[in-house]
Amino acid sequence: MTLQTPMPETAAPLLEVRDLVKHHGQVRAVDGVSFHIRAGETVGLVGESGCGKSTLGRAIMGLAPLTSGEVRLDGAVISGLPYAQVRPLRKRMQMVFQDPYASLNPRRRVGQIIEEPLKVHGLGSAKARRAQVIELMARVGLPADAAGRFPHEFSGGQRQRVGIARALALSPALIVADEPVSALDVSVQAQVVNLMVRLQQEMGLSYLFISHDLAVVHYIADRILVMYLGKIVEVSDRARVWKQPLHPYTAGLLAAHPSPDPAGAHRPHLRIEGDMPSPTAPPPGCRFHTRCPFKVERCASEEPALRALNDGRSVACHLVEVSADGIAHAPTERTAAPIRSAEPALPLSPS
Amino acid sequence: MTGLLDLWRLFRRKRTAVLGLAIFLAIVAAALLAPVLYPDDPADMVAPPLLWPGEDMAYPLGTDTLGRDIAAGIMHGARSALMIGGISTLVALAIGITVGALSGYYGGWVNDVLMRVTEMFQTMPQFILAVVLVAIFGPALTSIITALALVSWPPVARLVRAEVMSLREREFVQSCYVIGMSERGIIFGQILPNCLTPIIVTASIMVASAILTEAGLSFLGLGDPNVLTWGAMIGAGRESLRSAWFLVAEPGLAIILVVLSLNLVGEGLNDALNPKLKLR
Repeated sequence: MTLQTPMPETAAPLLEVRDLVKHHGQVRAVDGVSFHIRAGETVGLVGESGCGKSTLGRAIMGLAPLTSGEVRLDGAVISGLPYAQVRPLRKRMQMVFQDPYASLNPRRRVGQIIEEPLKVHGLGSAKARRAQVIELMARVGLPADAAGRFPHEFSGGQRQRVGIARALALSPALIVADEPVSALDVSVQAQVVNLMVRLQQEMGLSYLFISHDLAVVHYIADRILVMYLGKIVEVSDRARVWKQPLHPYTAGLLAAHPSPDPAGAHRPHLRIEGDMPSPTAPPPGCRFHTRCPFKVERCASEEPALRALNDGRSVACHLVEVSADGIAHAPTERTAAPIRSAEPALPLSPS
Repeated sequence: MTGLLDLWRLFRRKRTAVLGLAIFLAIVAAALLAPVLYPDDPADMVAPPLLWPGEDMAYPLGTDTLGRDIAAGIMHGARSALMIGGISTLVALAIGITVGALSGYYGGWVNDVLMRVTEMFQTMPQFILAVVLVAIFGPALTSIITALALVSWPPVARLVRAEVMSLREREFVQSCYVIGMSERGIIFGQILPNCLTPIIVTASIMVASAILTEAGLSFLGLGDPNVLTWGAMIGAGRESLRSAWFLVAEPGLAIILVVLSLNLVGEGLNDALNPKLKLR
């Protein structure tokens, strides 16, 4: 067996998504996604732009009605409720938006923006609220004089801190962060991600961290969902997603990043070519087969299900094989001829 | 407020806009001073008829066929023009903003129904519709204002609808749903304040066109007989156009000035409030 500690399955997970489908007319943005988030856990959701990850985040927050499926919070269904019944649930789950320029009302002062959630839910007196705003600002590292200023007076990173402070105001259990650092400079990204990690440790938050950047997700997430064209293709964990990706698409995402440690340099470099097919007409069979370097006949006709492996991971690929000792093998290792290796001239023995 | 100061700085850059504002303020001043300078009823016969402008300095703009002071008429006419234009525009804005906000915010069948109604009003020629409405309700001040409001709200509704539809999807509005703000709070506190800019610009043009339509109604004899208006003055002076053209020209000039000034102000506001031009 593996070293993984078994998770208690008794209590309902904090958030549970079951067979979530969201179509915008012809566009099948999210096409049957299931996963859960436990309390205190950070789940990363990674995929190319247009794969449906932001739509999934918005659907979970109830910002867009689902086509089908359900979302449960603390075991209770929250999808499909009228807005009046959703409002009190906002104290449990909050959201941080991608664009810190667009997500703050340009006509409100920073203090008002952070106070707004408290006001909306009638929490505390005006005086208590103001004190809490000052505390929240200190918590996210905003200067004390920020309260009286307008969002346009701040840099992108500072504004995202405002967005995070607003999300924290109601002390939620879960924060859905939709590409929270993608609009920021690389140097600022690390600061904001570190802030989010620190806040999680301090407040015991759970995150659904959505990003197109596997490196950022790898840094913050305990568990990682890889999404392609409206479906989850792999569920892995922080350590193994980097060292041993199973799905060829995950391997392709990894290849786009320079390796953080010398050990990782051993992993095969897989280049994914072409663009994602249109989500209005996803290809038959495996959705990735049009770009997959390992595809076999079966991939074009039969859609692989997301199957759970006994090491805690899941993958949707016909070519991932589990050997007798219970170890899963990515197609890179056995199925096809080795593609390109980062290693200098590894002698290949002719078989 | 720094906002207003910034606005003035941008507004001032356009000379025609400042000119328009100056003319408009002069007309407002005339309207305000009318009861002070001419406390008597401007419909009173005060002098010999058909005095030419400048002939008697007590009546600088002359007198009409009944010996009424035209200067008094112009100033009191400014009062009624601004009042009718202003109130009817406010009523039209109230209708237009409500219809536009509801249809833009809720979409679906609400939008379908409201937009079909709006289109129904838009397909009818404004002026003819106003004539018909006044003919039905009778020539009283309230019915004229009602008629003017009823013919001028559709463009506001369409404008507000488009603005609301786009603002609703903006992230800062979405963030209000995320914090659980009430829908009323979102519409009145977040969406509408952010579409004020185009509404203000449209409103200035609407006042002008309401004044113009009212003048047309009065000219046709559909005005309130108890209220002195420029349109009615032109209508009365029409008969003696060849012998005393100033009877028509003076109130006509007043109408041109107020409409022109409001258009210039509207254009200036549009430029000053348009963020894209600010970058230049």
